[in-house]
Amino acid sequence: MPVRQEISLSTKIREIALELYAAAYNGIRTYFRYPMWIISDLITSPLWLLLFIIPMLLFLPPEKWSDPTTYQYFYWGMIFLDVISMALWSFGSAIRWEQQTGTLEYLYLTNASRLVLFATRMCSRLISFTMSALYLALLMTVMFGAQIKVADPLLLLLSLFLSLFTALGFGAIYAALVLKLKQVGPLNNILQFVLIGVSGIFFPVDRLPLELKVLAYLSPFTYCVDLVRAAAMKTTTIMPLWHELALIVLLAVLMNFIGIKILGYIEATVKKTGKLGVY
Amino acid sequence: MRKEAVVADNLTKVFITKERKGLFKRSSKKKIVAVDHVSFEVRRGEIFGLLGPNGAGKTTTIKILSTLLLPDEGEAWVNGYHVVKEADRVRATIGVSLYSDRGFYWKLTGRENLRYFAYLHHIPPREAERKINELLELVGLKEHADKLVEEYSTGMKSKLNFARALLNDPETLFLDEPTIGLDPASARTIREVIKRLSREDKTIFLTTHNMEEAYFLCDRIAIINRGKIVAIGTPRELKEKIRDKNIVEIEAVNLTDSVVEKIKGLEGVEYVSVTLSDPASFKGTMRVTFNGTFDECLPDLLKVLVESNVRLLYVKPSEPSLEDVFIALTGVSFYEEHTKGSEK
Amino acid sequence: MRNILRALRNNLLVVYAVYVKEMKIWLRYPSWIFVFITLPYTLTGLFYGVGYAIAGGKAFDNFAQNTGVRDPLLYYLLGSMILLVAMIIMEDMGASIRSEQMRGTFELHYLSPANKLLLWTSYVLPHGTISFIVMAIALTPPLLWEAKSLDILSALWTIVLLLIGMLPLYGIGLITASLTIRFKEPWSIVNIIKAFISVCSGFLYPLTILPEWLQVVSKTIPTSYLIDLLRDVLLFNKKIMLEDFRLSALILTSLFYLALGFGVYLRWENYARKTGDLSKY
Repeated sequence: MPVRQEISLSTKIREIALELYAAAYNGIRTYFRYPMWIISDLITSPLWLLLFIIPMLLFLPPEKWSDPTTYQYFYWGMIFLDVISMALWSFGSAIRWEQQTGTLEYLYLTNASRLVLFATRMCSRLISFTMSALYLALLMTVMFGAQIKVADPLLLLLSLFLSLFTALGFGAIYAALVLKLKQVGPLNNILQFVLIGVSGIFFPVDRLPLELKVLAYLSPFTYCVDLVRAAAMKTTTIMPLWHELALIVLLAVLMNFIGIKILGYIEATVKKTGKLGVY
Repeated sequence: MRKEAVVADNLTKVFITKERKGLFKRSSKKKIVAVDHVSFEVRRGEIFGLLGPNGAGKTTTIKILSTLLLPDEGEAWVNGYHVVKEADRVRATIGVSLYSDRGFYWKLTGRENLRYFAYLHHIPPREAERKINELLELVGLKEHADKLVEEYSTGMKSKLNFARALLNDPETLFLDEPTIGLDPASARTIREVIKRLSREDKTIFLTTHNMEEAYFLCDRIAIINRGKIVAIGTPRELKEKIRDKNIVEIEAVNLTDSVVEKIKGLEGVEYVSVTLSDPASFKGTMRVTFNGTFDECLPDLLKVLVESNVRLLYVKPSEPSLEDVFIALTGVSFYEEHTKGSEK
Repeated sequence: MRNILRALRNNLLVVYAVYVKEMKIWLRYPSWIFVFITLPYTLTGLFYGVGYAIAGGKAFDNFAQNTGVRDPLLYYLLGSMILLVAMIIMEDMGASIRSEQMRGTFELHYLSPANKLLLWTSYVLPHGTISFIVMAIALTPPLLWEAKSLDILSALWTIVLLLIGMLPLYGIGLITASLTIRFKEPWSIVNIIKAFISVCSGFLYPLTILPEWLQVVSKTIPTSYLIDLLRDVLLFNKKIMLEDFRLSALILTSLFYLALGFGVYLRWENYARKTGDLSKY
């Protein structure tokens, strides 16, 4: 039997750092070699914003369309949506991309962490997210006269990070579905709309009827977006701040644990059926 | 430490496929035994070839040994590690080149692709750069290294694939059809590299359906057909299996099916294989394997050919080839099985 | 005459071949049926929910004041359906071509004598029409409930308007197809086209809300006339007159986009044949 050497913690940390660097390397280089994506984002962002916001504004009287609070809710709702979309769909779309390019099997021939592997998409999304957050704020000012302000920047960064981390767990489950089924189809669109509706992403959930409020309280994203709004707009949180933070951390750890387990199980399943490399 | 680099013990893999007859008809499930209780050992430092037609189970075997596929039965060890229980250790000590036209990021250059995979193998950046330059030089891609992969030809991608398999300086290399799609010069380069790697005590496990390649490159060959290993040995040992047979090679015109059937019916004739170079005129090469002496069998054979208006171009005794070994062991021609496997 | 019949038979065979192939693939992933049925409702529910949450009890009064329609349900269902079908038709040909490129089967189509324009167009048939039919079936109950005085003539007008309205989208689909052949990854450009069409058509709001200059742009988009006419028929129970300016504008702009689509497609396909782009993916 060969001599088995245990890997030290420092070596393990170095290896993970190298994997993260590799993921960033691949993701960012590929992103900037498609400059039309960046241009497309710049052109279409205001258009999709209009398409999304105007139907909702129709329920308000015209004189309220320039109410800054309404736009603040919309803005932070869009930012939050972008963050969780990044985590929800990045893994699944990265797997699909690897299946299409035929590189998935080669990735599985390495010992790199599976989650880090699929962070390639996340890296480019982080860049586009930062650009679009600033760009969106500018658009809000130019198109609607709304000033976007941040009450507590540190708390905002923490809440966005925790939201991302929470969504990662769901993202791992979605990635497992893509690995197994290849074409998950547009079901993810429906899931996204349901999440938006139930989690109060654009409005406080206390305005919902009781039945929907109960559903909202069951969604971890309700607390995440609540925290983001509290940090940005100094709104009152559903529960005391530290309780809400603790709850979000707990939910994030739980969701990631479940997500990783499911991803590992599905990996074993597709290796068993020989469908790993199937596109 | 075991002498063997690869040990396969009773490996079995069954795939379930669905046969769909129409839009709204129920599909029926079918079991395909891709690898059927396969056992073999590969010594350290040797070049081991898994030779078989399409659909024989070569790629399935490689995928099991490289941890991409879980076997249904049996066990395997690579470099002393169990392929299922110690999969991560196996992966750390092997390099794999799978046959495919895809497998790279189109918007990265050849160098950048190698760099990415080097980091995933935990090779530090400085060492990775040195290694990448060496490998690009080795496979003859240095001048194309900084072009995007989307501009690469099939042959260039094959070379890059080969280079990638060597990134982590593996003890054992798994190569699935390493020279397919390459021009003769590039194929020769790759074969020379394989020989060199073997002299450096690396174990090479390669699959191929190219008999000449297997014969000239491999120290030992396992012939696989329909998921089963039918023979293992050095090329010489495999040919020795039909030592008691005699083979005559005939090139002629008008080698029709009826002529072949008549020859098959002759006493002493065991196998007949025909390869037509011009199907319109039935011109081709026929190899007849018989278990008698030339003096005993040749007169009857020539009589049949002359009476059937076959125009003989040459008749000569021949050394047994791996194709003859395949036919002797399986009862069917390698190229017939190869075609059937492609159709599968 | 015989040659014409033979050509017709061959072309129909091409359409049939694509139709059967795509339907077989689609029916092996039947989740799309559920999605097409629920997506217009999901979108409507989202706007409904958020609108009600931000406006409270006066939501519907405000909505009626802004759109002239009391009940947002049919307004959004109709708009969502047309929006989604438009998106599918606009990007479908390009998506199908991209799929063939990735599988390595794209170039093989050019080895057949089939008319390529007809071939790629045929992809729209199973996707566009089936999705349209499924959505229409899903929306018929609320449509019938709301539009109680919908007569045969209005129903016929609805179908005719939809058929005319799909023509320019098909033309845009040809443009996305040609972009895919040339650029392989055209989704950024397709995204821009879709965004403009979606916003400037006013599927989900009256165009009078948009800035003046954007309203001028909308006048060049056929689907803006389409949705306006459909609202008149289904929501306001108005009769469409043949001399209606919007009808003429719809027909003219539809034909223009169709011609543009053909022209762009043929130009880029020819370019791809010369440069060897057909074999690249």
